[in-house]
Amino acid sequence: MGIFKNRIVAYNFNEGQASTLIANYRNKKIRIKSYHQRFVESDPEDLVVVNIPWDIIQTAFLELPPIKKESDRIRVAELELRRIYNLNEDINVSCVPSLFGKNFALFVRRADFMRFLETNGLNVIPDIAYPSILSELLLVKKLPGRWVYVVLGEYTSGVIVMNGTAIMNLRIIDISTNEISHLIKEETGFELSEIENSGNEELIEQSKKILETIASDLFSIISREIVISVNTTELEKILLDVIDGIVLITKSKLIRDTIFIEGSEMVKKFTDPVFLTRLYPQISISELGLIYRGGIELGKVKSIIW
Amino acid sequence: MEKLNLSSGKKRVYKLRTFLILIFISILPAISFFSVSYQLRLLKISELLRSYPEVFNNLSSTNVDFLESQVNSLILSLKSRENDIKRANEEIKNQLVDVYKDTYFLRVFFNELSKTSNKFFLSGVMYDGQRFYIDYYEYGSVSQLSTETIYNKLNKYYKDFAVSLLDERNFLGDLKYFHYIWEGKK
Repeated sequence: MGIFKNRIVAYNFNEGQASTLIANYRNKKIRIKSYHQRFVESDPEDLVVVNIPWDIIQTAFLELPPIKKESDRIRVAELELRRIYNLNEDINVSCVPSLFGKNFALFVRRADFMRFLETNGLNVIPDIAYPSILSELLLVKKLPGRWVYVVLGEYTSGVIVMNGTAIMNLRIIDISTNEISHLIKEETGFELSEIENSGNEELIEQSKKILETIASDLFSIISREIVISVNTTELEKILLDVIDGIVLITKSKLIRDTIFIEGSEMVKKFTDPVFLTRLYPQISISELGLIYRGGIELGKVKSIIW
Repeated sequence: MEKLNLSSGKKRVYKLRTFLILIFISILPAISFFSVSYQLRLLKISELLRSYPEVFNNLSSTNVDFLESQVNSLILSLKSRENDIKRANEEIKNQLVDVYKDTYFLRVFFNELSKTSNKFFLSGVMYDGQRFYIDYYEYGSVSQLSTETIYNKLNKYYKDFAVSLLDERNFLGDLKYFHYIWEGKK
């Protein structure tokens, strides 16, 4: 953190791939300076944000006494987690209040966390480590009532059941847009995002056809995961009928269209997300979410401009 | 949800450059205060220079720090000079008075004499620089000299001044002579 300007560096590490997004925060505005498809060293004064994959994160719903101070609440949550899981090693804990006095706690073993940083070549401890799917969800306006948010990320996807702003359940899905993109690349020779950004009608048509062939499979996986997530909500026994809607968060317009065409009863509940900021075709939602999270650490964020 | 953070948090560090800038910013008010006060002092001094050039023409240097002591010593030297002049003045005055006194009694004497119509015979005048003595005779039917006016005139300047009528005798017919002496000390 500098004196006159605050630089935020967001790293998105996925399957050995790294991307770096560098932005300046000033006057409630985030101005993106540069975007690199590789790892770029950060300055010691920068606010460093990294994503953290779900394979090292564990979650739990904890019943904690009503503590206002966040640091105290986290300490109590840590003690509770240690007791429940019988942990002796160092853990990083974070929790958000949920419904009925429960707290949605996430924790990661420090050894796992350090190993994750090391394997990705980051030798400084980041200021913020934010879970992958939640970084996408961060940019989406949360709607009142019970909503299911389906995040189709580039590398990880997930289903989050929410009541207003409280997380009720979270489930990771074993599909990613990158896999779909690979399928299309094998056929057309271009990535899905490249095709979408190019606006080449022929290629778009071609990839649409490919997507249609896998659409039912894709939709069945998603709908199955939604049903499981809703039915396994611990905090509140709910059914799919009481869900107000399902928000599909994906950057790919083609995938969105493919899912929305499906003739299932569930599709009627699907809606598009309302994003808090403008999206940029080159940058993934996850990366934007990470930079947004960095901005929140410094103050309010009204807009992200490039 | 916004506040979720799974990192243990790194220690906040500042680069040396930032640290130095921070230090500079923190001491900036002090620096500006001193520089402004120094400038004000210079302004005040230049104002003084303009209004009292005679004082500052006599100063060897305009170094602000030694100004007060310099002005003080200047005041002292001026005071001693003033005393010297006063003393000299006094001396000159005394000298003048002294010289004046040497002849004053004679002037009064002749002045008084010329005012009357009587004749006079001056029998003796003695003056040794300190004491004077006048011995004379006045001829006439009455003495026209008023001892009182003479006394008033000369007693102011001479110590132990005395004017006395020693003798009064008929001389021819109603003509009389009056023997007077004046004496005094300077």
